[in-house]
Parts: sequence; C-alpha cells; structure tokens
Amino acid sequence: MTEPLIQLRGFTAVDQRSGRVLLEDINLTVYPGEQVLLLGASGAGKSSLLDAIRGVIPHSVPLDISGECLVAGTPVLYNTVAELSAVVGNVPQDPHASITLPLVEDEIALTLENHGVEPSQIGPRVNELLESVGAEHLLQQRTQTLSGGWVQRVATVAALAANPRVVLADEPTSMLDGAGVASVMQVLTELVGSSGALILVEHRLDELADGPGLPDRTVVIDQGKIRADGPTQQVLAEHAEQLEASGVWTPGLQLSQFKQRTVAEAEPLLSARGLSVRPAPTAQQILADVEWDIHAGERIAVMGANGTGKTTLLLALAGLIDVEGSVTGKQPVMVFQNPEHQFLTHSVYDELRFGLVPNDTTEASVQELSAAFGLDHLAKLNPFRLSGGEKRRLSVAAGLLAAKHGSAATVLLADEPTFGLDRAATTTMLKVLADYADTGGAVAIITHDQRITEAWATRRLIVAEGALV
Amino acid sequence: MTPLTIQHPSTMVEPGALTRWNPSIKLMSLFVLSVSLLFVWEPVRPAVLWAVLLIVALTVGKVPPKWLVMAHIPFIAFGFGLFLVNVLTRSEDGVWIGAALAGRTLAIGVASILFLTSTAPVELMRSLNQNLKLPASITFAVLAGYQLLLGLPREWQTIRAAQLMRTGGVERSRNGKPKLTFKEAGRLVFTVLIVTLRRSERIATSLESRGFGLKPRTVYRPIRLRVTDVTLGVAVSALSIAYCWPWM
Repeated sequence: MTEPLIQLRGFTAVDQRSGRVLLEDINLTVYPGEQVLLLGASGAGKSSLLDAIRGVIPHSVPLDISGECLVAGTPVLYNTVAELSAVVGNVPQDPHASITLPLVEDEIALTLENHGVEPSQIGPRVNELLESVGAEHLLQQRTQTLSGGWVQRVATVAALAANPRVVLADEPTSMLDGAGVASVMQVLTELVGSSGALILVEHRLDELADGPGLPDRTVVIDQGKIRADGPTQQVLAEHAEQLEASGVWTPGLQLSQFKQRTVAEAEPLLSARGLSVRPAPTAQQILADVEWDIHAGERIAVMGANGTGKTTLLLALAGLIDVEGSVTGKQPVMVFQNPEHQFLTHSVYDELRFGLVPNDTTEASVQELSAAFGLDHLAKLNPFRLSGGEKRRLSVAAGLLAAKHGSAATVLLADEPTFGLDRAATTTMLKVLADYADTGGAVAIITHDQRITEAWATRRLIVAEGALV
Repeated sequence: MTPLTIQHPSTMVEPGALTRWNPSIKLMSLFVLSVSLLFVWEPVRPAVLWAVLLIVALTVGKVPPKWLVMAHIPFIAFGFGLFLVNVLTRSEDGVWIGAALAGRTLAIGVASILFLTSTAPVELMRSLNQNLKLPASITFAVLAGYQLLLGLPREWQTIRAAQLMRTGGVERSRNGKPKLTFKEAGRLVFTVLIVTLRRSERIATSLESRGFGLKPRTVYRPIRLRVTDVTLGVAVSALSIAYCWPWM
C-alpha cells in the first residue's frame, strides 16, 4: 500500500485558557487519490481539524496538543506553515482576506514566486490557472474591483497555484452562483487528481451532488470527535438520524415547507417606483427602473448571480444610498451581510435591547427571540467575541426587534441571513422570519440557496443586469 | 452618498520619463538632494532650485498645475511656520535664516511631489526588494497594509450605513448637513479597527499558507536596473551636492 498523505493518530487539541477540547482523539488516515467530505454542525471542530493539518495549530494558534499529525510522512510539528504549504494548499473561507496585491496577475504569481517557480514558467501557469475557472479575462484587472464570486475564484487558484498534493477547502463556494460552484469544484478535483487528496467542508451538498458529484468518502465530526468515517452513501444512510439531530446539512434534505399564503389586497408596506441607482453621477446604472411593492405577510427571496446588484437594491430600499425615483412607505429595517458592522454595544444583552423602549412587551419579545436563537447563555459576552453563526443570529435578532417595536409594521430586509449557518440554525432563522411576516410585517432576504427559496419564500425575485426578472 | 476612495498620486498623473526611472535610484537621489540642502543656509539657492523643480514638474513630470498648487499647501504652511519662528527668535539674521529654511522646505516638497506622482507603490516596493535587497517580509507587509488602506474608505462608509440603520438615522445640523456625533464616531472607529485587525490577521495566515517566507523566492516581473537609471541617479546626486556645496 502507498504511504498515506495525511495521518492523525490520537490527535487531541485543548485550548489551555478556556480548557475547551477542540479536537479529541482524532484518528484519520487519507491516502493519495482520496476525496473526503467533512460533515459537522457549527463549532463541531471541522475548521480546527483543517488547521491542524495545515500546521496553523499549533504554529499560529498555540494549543495544547498530544498525539500525532503527519503530512506526507513528516510530523506537522517539524515544519512551519510556509514549509507545509508545498504539500498542503488551503482554499480560504473568506477569500477577500487572502488578496494582497492590486493586480490579479500578480496575486496568483505571488504564490508561484514564494515557491521558487522558474520566472519563465509563471506567466503561462497564471494563464492556465485563470482559464480553469473561466477567469482569463481578469488577468490585468484590479483585485479591488472584483465582485465576491470572482474574488473567490481568484483566491482559490492563487491558493492552489503551487500544485499542493493535499487540498483543504473550507466552504470554497460560499460566494458563488451555480455555474461558479461547478467550475471551482472541477478545479479542486482536477488539481488533486490521483496522486493528491482533497478534504472538503461544504454546506451546499445538493448542488454538489447534482453537478460534480459528492466525494466518495465522508467523515462526520461532532464535538471534536470523529463519529463516523466511511463511504459517503453508507455514512449518510447509517447516521441519518444522528446527522439530522445535530443539525448538519445533508444532501437531498428537504427543509420543511412553510405555508403559502395569499397576500391581502391592501396598501403595500413599501413601494418603489422607477428606482435607479448609479455609483457616481456619470457612471453606468447598477439598477435601472425598479418597480417593486412589498405587502404585509410576504416572504421574498432575492436571488441572482454575483455582482448583479442585490445588496445595492436592499440598500436603496432602506434609503442608505442616493437613488433616482421614489421609495414610499415606512422606513424598513436592514440587516447587513457582515454582522460585525452593526454591533453597537459591548454585550449581547445590551445589543438585543439597543434602541428599544424598555417595557414588559419588548422585554418579553427580547426573551423569546434570545431563547429561539440560542443566545441566552451568551448574554454577558461581547458581540465581537461570538462565533460566526452566533454573530449572524444576534444581528438578525436585533434587526427583528427593531422592526417589531417600531411605531408600525415594517419590512425587514436581510442580506444573506442564513449564510454559514448549519441546518438547525437555518430552520430556526426561517421560522422566526416567517413568524414576523405572519404578524403584519414582511421580510425580504438575499440568498443563493435554492432550497431556502423553494421551502420558504412566497415570492422570488431575480436580479439580473440591474433589473428585476 | 458618493463612494469615498483613496487614490495614490501616481494614478492621477500620466506616466512620463520620471515614471520609467528605477524607483530605488530615484528614492536615493531624492535622499541625496534632501541631505545636500541641509548645508545651505541662505535663501537664494533653495529658491532657484524650487523654481527649476517646478518647471520640471510641469514639463517632464506632467503634474497638472492645479494639482501642484494643492499639493503645495502643507509645505507652504510648514515653511511659513519655520520662517515666522526664526524671525521672532533671531533678532539679527532671523529673516535670512527663516527664508532659507522655508525655501528648503518648498524645494524638498516639490521634489517629493515629483517622486510620489511618478512612482506606483507596488513598483517601489518591488524595486526596494529586488534592487536594494530589502527583505520581502517587509515590502510585502507594506503592500498588504497599503491594500487594506485602500479598502478603508469603503469599509468606513458601509459600517457607517450599517450603524445608522440601527441608531435610527442621521442627525442633521441646522443647515441640514449630516452630522457625525462624538459617540457615533467612537463606535465607528472601534468597529473599523476591529474589522481591519481581523482582516490583517487573516491576510497574514493566508500569505503564510501560500508559502510566503520560503527560500529561495523567484521574481516574476523583475524590476530592471539599467545603465541610464544609474547614470541619471549619479548625475542628479552629483549636481545636488555641487549645487549645495557650502563654499561654492
């Protein structure tokens, strides 16, 4: 048998300060040619496991570790993260954070320069990499001007430019539309080929299953321990209940259908007429002549490819950018994509109550939402210290409370409120939003997730080339 | 709300002959000129030099006149301050020395404007790394930081909008202009700092996991050091020294 590429034996990682066990007695062996899907709820230890393999634990994040972690036969401990990068490539979760240089070409060349690739080979290799994700037209583009989906593709090929044998991908398609998912997955699979190995963390399993296909092997991790490891179909079948219970996304899973409802013929809560947006007086319009009414009780999913102007549309409705045309109705509440941008106080407790009139009614609904979103035990923590999923739930809860306790019912606009949430949290989120729509309000969310739109939305809007379809 | 942006002066000026001059040599020549001027204690030579540099800026440097005037504001303010202090503290030669110092400020000021408008930051850092062997860990850190800086105005605006959404709208001053209260500014700065700090941390990790720090590195687009670059550098430096030589 060939030598394993990744081998963890009894690997345990403990955060000494909090005493929290992040990984416990992990035994995992991955051979060349294997592709592994890593499943687990938020905070189960997926990212920690990837960090251990690429050496970030313990080199950059000092944790107490025991047991062994070998990559290509050498202990991770003996190599720096940079040295390991010759073997291990890491596709970043937040692609914006990996861009260092102003030009796309230089950004990808940087990885090759770091690895000492012959200068004459760098140019052709950069072209080849960009072509593989359909981005050859971006060669001379400035990285600052790219939309999320293109940044993700550029960051992906930049991360893997040096042909590492082990590829770790933590939600590599989070910002992509359908076509993007297929092309990035194709690149990942082609890169590892038969001599490399891929470990993939991904929530969008249906799009994977329908398109490029799921990896053959699946590992389930829960509370830092490996609970299952085997052929994907078998693991999914045998552990279906357990996966369901812990709130993990699994392929073929249907979100429970929300009741469709007929919207009463009444005054719309918010109505846009001839709405156009241009970034500068002379620039091309991002949105042109949008006509849109939002009625009480509506649950609207705003969809569309990357960079088509979905966020701009919400900002325009919320009155946060200059527009031509008119928006009439009650001031809506908007929840931004990055929850950190909206935090104003130093504790979860204060954050939920910010700007509300303190009385029994508001207190009751704060308590109710805090419990529904599982924020009760975090009340004293600083919002900036929460995990990604907790931050998102907190920011939506705060937005909802502001919307509920204004002078009259209003529209809640939310930019990707289910981003990065596991299935359990997504279900709760959708239910809470639907409850709000049922009690006289209305909700419009931006999402890339087809499942959510089908199960939850009463209306779907697609933004394409600056217009509603 | 029009989007705020930061632009480097080099992106606003048409590239000319000075743009093609090797950035490291250009920087060194600027340094020699500045040091030489330290030995001049009369106002005539700095004034003449200032005039010559202005002509260079408007012709070879292709700096738009309006732009050149605007860029002068800080140097004029500083130079005037120096002049005033000297006039008030030195009774005998205060005017003479003050004028010399003010002239020096203006001359170095125009030389710096010429440098900034003709040198893209990426080219400068690449050149410092390749030609002057400054460690890549420093030059790329500066570049990554610079990229973050370019993104800051947009980040600032987004966070401001996000926070306004929660605080219930802009407070306006009496003439209707949006007002940023002290408390709001505090929150804004806090969030911008945290978000930027997080991002820089991630950039560092990401650079490392892309093999940054390995040796040997190669260079994709070398910044060449041509004979003309060096000749020009030596000529400018020699001229500067000769011009400022104390007993000339």
